[in-house]
Amino acid sequence: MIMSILYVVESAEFLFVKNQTGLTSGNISSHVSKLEEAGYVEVEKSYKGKKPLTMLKLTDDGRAVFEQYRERMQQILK
Amino acid sequence: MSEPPDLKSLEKKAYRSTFEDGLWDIFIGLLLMGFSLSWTRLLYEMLEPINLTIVILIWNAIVVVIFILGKKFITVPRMGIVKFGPKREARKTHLRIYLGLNVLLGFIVFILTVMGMMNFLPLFGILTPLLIGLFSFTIPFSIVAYYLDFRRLYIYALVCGCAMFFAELLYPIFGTPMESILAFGLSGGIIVAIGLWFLIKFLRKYPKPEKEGM
Repeated sequence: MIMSILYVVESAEFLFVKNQTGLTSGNISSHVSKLEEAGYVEVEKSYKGKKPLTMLKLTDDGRAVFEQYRERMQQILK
Repeated sequence: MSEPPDLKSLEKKAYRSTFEDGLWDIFIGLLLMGFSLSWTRLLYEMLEPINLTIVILIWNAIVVVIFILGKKFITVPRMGIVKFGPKREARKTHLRIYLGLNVLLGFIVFILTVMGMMNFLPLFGILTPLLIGLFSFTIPFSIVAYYLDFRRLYIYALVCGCAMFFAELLYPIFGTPMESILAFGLSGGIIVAIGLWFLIKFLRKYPKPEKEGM
């Protein structure tokens, strides 16, 4: 679900992904950490005023892998 | 095994969630309510056209500020920042160009009207306000609705377009300023109320998080 949301947008804040997926913050954090380690998601941490801002973005590799996954799934379901 | 998600509807759902705050509804409703000022014959008699224009411009500026502050302090802290794909960005750019041209055209029409150079236009009796409404509100707002992919705005475009016509119909019955208050104020007020209803739903659905991030 995290990959799907990030695939349909250019980039999104952690909070936006949380609202769209309905997952808990801890759940998203652990998934995103693994996706980041694999090189599929880019995490950019900064500050907006005094508040921390975490932006998430799919890398080119992440997009390619997600497309492959979708194609495979569609073939299996056919 | 789960089915692959329908990305098109997922993207639409994510995009349309940005309208859940009702701020666009409040924005359009307040603009329409403000327009009642310009259509009120009482104000026409009290103020010079240029002063009346200033009153309307100040009102519109306040409405724009409310919209921007609402997005900044209500929506973004609760919903988070999102940047959509190149197709949506291209539509946004087209919308900006269109709005820029619209403002320019509006300014030219205003100058020509003040200079008395628009008197050549034919009048069609009671249909005139309907035509003015169509070209001033319904068509421009529908184009904005198309670029924004904001479906409720099509209905508001129709309501806004008809308001001027209704004001003309109500004038012989209620006189001024009641005809404007009823036609513009009431229809604008209903749109604002719809916006507030969406805003309350939004505030309940998305409470302000203490701290979000990884």
